[in-house]
Amino acid sequence: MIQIDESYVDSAAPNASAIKNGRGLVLKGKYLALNKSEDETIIFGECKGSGKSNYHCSCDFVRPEAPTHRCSCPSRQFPCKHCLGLMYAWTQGKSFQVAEVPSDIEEKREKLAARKEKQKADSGKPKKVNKTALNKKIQAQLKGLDLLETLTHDLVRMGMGNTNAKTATQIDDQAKQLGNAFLPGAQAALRDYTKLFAGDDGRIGGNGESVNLEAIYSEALDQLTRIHALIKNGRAYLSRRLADPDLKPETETAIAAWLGHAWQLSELRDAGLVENDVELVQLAFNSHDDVARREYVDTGTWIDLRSGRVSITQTFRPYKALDYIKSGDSFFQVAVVKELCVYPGDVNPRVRWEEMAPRPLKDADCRAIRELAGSDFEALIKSVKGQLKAPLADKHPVHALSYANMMETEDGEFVIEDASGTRIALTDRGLSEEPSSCHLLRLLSDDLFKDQTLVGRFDHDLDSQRLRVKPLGIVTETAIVRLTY
Amino acid sequence: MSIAVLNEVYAETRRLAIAGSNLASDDFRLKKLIDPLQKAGEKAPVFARVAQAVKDVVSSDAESSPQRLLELGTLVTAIRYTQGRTGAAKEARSIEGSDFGLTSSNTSARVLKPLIEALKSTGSGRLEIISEAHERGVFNDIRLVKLAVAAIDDGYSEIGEYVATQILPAYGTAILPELAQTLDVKGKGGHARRLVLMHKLDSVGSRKKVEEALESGSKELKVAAISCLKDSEEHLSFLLSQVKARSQEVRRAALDAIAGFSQPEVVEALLGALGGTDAVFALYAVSRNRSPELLDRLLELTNEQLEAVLATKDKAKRLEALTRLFDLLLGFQSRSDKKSISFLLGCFEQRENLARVKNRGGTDGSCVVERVAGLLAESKSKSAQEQLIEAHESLPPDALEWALVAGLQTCTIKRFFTLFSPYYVATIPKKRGANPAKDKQEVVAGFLSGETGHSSQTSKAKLDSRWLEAAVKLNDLPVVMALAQPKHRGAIKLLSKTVDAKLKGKGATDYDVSDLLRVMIRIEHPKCVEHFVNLLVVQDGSRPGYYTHWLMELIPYLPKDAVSKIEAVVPKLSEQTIDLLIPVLEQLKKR
Repeated sequence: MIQIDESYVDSAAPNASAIKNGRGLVLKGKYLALNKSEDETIIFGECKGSGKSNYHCSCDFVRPEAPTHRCSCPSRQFPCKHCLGLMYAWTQGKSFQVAEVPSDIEEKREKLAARKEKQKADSGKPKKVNKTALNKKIQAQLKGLDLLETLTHDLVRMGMGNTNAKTATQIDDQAKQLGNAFLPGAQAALRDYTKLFAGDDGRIGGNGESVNLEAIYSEALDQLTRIHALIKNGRAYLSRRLADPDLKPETETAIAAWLGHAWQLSELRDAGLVENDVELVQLAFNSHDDVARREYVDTGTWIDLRSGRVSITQTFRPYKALDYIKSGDSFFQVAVVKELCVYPGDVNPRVRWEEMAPRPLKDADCRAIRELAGSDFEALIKSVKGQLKAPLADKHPVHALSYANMMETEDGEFVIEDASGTRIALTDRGLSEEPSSCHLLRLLSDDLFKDQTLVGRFDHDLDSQRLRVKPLGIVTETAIVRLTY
Repeated sequence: MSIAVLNEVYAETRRLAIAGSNLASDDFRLKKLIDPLQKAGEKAPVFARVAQAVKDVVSSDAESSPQRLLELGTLVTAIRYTQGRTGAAKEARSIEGSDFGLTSSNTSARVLKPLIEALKSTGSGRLEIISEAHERGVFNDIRLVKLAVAAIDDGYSEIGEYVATQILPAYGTAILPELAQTLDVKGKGGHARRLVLMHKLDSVGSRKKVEEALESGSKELKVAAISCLKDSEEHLSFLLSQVKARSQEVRRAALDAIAGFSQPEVVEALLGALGGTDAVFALYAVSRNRSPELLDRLLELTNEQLEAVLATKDKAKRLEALTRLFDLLLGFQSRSDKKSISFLLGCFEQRENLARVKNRGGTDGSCVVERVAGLLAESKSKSAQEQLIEAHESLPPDALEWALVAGLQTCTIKRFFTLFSPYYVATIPKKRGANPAKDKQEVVAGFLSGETGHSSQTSKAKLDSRWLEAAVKLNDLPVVMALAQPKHRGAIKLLSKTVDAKLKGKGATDYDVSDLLRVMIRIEHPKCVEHFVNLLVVQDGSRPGYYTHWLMELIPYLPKDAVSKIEAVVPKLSEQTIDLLIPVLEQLKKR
């Protein structure tokens, strides 16, 4: 028996217009046939489309935690409006006739079941690698790193002060070649450098006054040293892999991802980067438009209720594929994840899951987060500094910090203080895409200034030499007060 | 000391990275740092590594300089990352929190994003997004407070006004610091709204800003500040001085602000203003003022004009006095004291003489009679209202409406019908020229249908059921629509007949079709769904998705069984109409 309701179908849709179109198909009576299997594990139907022949769609719930949607329409949206409409018709109680599952669907079901079985069986077997292709790829990457080095050296030789619209455009053009050399991570690092010189309008040299160059040189130098470290470490890593084609992508550091390796979940499983029965609570969510990369990035910041590790989920939605990729959103419940795949990385690794069941957030969960938060600021600061000094480290790690007091200095700066009196100043610096949040602190009620837990993003300002924290939210005994969006 | 050297190394590295590593060879500023670094390196090996990296840089050539400078940069930056200061050495105090009580921030990003976009951007359609979010309680989120405060300056003044009056007051005094911080007394619209809101939230605390705006503010801020000081006796002398201000807006705001005071100087100021260009505004202030001296003076002035109208033979002078009398009567609005009522009744007794003063296209005697009748009808004096009702036969058509207003307040429904229905049901022969009987009939019909501006009174009051019977008999659709009651056969039949006629003829797309259906829904007309569906199909056939827009608004109010009937005709409808239909039909289903 298929147990779905309208909100389930809404959440399965990739966007709002797919919901509307799916509902519209039912209302317009476009379904010429609505069928279900005898055991009610699959619904299938025939939907009238704009073309000559009708579309055959089905929603297979034989695996209810991961249903399979199939349709003969050419849409790249998944599930397409025809499958969504089919599910809406089911939830609206339309009459579905018991019918034999079409042979092609039956075949596909069998194939899928066989594939899953095979996947299960193969999961233990080592994956075959096309060594010649890998060799070629690594050589191309090494060449790409040579190009990156030449570009970076030219930039340093010429001086950051001479970066103008023309040179930045040239760098951007050459950065495209890094994409061809299978180095999207390096390409992004180079674009992050040129992005620093862009004005509010995203253009370099478009409105010079909008860019305070003096304020960005330190960050630009930091970015160049990062690219330098990427070249050095990347070259060493690739050389090692070239020498030993059986060597797997490195899991101790994020160098593989820096060089653009797109981790498959199966690879993560093979590498043992999997955790079972994890409960995650979202602490913050941000969706921003990355103009340089021409995509939207939805980032969720989560805390593991068992280990206290703060991790992130990321959905990249290129402009071209906006209709086909479901956007991320704030999540206010607890995500119960059977199998959590953890990407190699440092303090806030990226995580992903295929199946998740939500459950309501309870007071006990908030208390658990508070207990897991760092309450010894000195030790936490030491660990953060130790992490930041690595050139390829995440420069803005997120931590949960339990504070005894949140106060304000005479010049209006906010600070948090642990039980031993160690202070950390708060700031609005951090990731440019996140909105400022310090101004909201004055709007909080007094009880939030004592004995609470701050979710904060560390930021080291290289000019003022200050390591501060940007508030993202506050975890109280009963709730999570989000300060950003 | 060692850290200071390290900072110098970083500064020089940064300088060279900006200027270009080509210039690094033999750089004397870097060179001079080698010795202190080597010295520090004896105690901490990391400084020796930095010293070596510096040496490599100063001994580099054009080819090797970028690599070496980057090596040095990487090393120094890494060390600096371990040296960040975290605390604040300065004295810290408790934060003064707010009493917002907003600890919830459970608004999802999908909801927040478009709302924030609407608050921060420009363009059309934003007010709908903002008001809808407000109605759903989305603004009860701490992250929206600053954005809402900033929206008070929105270029589209309706948004600024909506935010200032509907959203921000709910935040209470907690937003006062933010409002005060961003207030510019030389500013325009948004700042005026800010000042008024500050005064509304904390009249005492905002006094200083209000005074600042009075003294040195822009015209808009001055007007806003004056409106804030309506009840401030302390500022009365200032307000009085503003009655003669150069700016008309300021003068009028000042007149409005002093209306509540009864000091002699206020009376003088108001009387003084009666003679100038602000006379009408002064009279509105006079009508709110309860000074006996002012009332006496007003009575004296008005009486003078009344006598002049009645006694003067000169036509021009008489019209001049009549116009003045007409204006001065504004000062009697919402007055129910004996003197005023007695004067108004005196005036009313002269209605026939007054009605004789004609002035084609301008204010004439009947206008004055109508105004007097209106003042009596809206006064709280039962006897005055009764005299007005009693005199209904002698009233000109326009004044008759005021007798209806008074009658609705004081008469029983039976008496109201007995007195006024003859005007409505009378059979009036057609004739050329003036036809007061016809005019009176139209006045009564307009009053009943609510077309004359007193609709709320008609719809709220319980009327004798004979009115509806009469309207049905006369086929008076507007009145039937206003008075129709559930299960009233005549009304049901007439409404059905009208819709059928529209469906058969070309009236199916008339603008009033949706009003007809609205009435049918209200009275639970047995055929309302059937008519709705038929009209939907016909309207859609006439121009897909265009006319049907108005019908869509009614769907959520239809009976629930309408869903299946509407769904049954969906295949006949255009794609545009179906697209409009989907969300509203969902609303009806979920009701």
